Amino acid sequence: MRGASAKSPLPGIGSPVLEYVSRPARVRTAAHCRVRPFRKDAWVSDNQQGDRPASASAAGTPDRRGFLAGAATLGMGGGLALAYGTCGVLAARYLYPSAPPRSRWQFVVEVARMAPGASLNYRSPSGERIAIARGASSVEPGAAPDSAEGLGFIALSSTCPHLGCQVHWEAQKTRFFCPCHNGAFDPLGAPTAGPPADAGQSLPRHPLRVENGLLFLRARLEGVARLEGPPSDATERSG
Amino acid sequence: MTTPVAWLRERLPISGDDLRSLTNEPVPNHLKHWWFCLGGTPLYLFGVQIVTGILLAFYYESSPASAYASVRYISEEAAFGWFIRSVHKWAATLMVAAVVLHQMRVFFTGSYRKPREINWLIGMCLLLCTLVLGFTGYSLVYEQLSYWGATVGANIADSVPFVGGFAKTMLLAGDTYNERTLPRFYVLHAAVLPATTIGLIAIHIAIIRIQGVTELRFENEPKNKPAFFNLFPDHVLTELTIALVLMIVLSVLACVLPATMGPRADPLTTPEVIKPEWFFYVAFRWLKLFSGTTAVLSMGFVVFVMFVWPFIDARIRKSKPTSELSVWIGVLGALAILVLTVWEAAVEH
Repeated sequence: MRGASAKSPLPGIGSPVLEYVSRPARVRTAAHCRVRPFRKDAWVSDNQQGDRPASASAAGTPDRRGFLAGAATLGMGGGLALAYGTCGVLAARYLYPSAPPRSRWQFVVEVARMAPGASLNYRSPSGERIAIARGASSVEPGAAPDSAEGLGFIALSSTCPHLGCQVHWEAQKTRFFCPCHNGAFDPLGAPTAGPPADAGQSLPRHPLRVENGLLFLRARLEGVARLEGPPSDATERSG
Repeated sequence: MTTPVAWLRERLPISGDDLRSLTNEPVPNHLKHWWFCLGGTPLYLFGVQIVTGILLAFYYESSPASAYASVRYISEEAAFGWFIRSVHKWAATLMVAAVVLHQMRVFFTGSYRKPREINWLIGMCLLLCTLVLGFTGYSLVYEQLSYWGATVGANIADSVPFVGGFAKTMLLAGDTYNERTLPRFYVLHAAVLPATTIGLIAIHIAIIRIQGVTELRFENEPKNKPAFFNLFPDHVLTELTIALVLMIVLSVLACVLPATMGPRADPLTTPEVIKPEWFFYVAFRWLKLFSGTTAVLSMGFVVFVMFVWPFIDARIRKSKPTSELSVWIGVLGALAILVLTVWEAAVEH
């Protein structure tokens, strides 16, 4: 039942485009929630009541109409999927970090000041601890004699290859130990126990280069440890 | 002049009778026992988490430089900050426990069987959401455990073949923990995961309302006893009683064992003894027993089996209708989880 109706109060509009119908609120009952059964012919018959001709030829054959409806649905669905999919790709690209962390060659020590058998702990600008050691002979067969490898240098990262915890040196057991999952490595970084030994994961090595008698190492410049750590160029010597 | 009630009724035309007919879901009699109401328990605790979480968010700062100090401010300077943080921590612990107990109840009463498989799948998603909420939650404090937990968690993701590297980079906003990592964990913990959880809970409850709660009858129950009682007010009162008891338990735990703070995160030093929260002890022990990819893939396989369990169980019952194999698999699974958890809790390394 319709209640009192009023003309649109919008100024400047002569004939009411929108009619405001005030309808008293009704108490909902279960009957109102019942869904009307869907009749496939309802839409066509309702529209054919107007001035549209009812003949099948004007409205199109069911096949043609079905095809057009399918094409429209496909076009609409495809368009929406494409549009929102593009937005999704943009969002994913936005969340993916835009540039890899910067790294640079850094001076470590003069080659002459590090005799075979010596080692030092290097602290990179990112705050990472790197153990640099010089073996008695070349660590890689076939390396050029004046290269870092040929001179016996290695630079071991302190990040465990298993799940990224920091290893520490245990002098009494002459090994690097990872407290997270009990991984252990020998002084050259080869795995000796725990999950890294099962998977054959060695401690990662940093690239080294010798130039004009100076040892350089490639390491990162940025890291969260830098935020609160001591000065980034700090180096400590040992052994 | 119209009374406020009449004024409201005119605008919201819902009568008391309507409300009763909308809410009066028949509830099977076994739900009169509180231990069958473990589904409502995590829901209530989740509500506590939302309220206390919003309060914590007023002071928390998600930057590595200031996160730890902001948590210290909440714990030591903000009025009742220690209480709100402790309730948040304990409600998280109890929520994980309640979700696990609810899942075990559903498992051992076979309530996941046809036609309820979909709700089991949604329940599994809710279990994972709860665990990831716990993981991202303790990563926010920026203590040693937070930092190394996040690092290990991201590297576990990295061990997954093909997509692992991408997942790790997306989680950490880089290939290692950096200054843009913590805001990610914060957004996941305080926005993405809660919104997902709310959506999943809504679907979970909607499906329960559509299908009805599984009916269970005890052997000694008289046959002529009515099988159902009313959701409103009878069952609602049971839930309210549980909520009251939980609030008392949470308050006592928060006062007696308040949330503490470990040492600030040090990206250069992994502590000599490090363990995650108790609900990850199983996974942590598993990671010590097997190498990276093997451990991660086997854990993924166990989670997959848990997801598709209703279909596996249907196969078992189809081939051997009287078999109790499903129950024994459940018992073995629960025992394995218990043994690995106790083992990890008992030893240092």
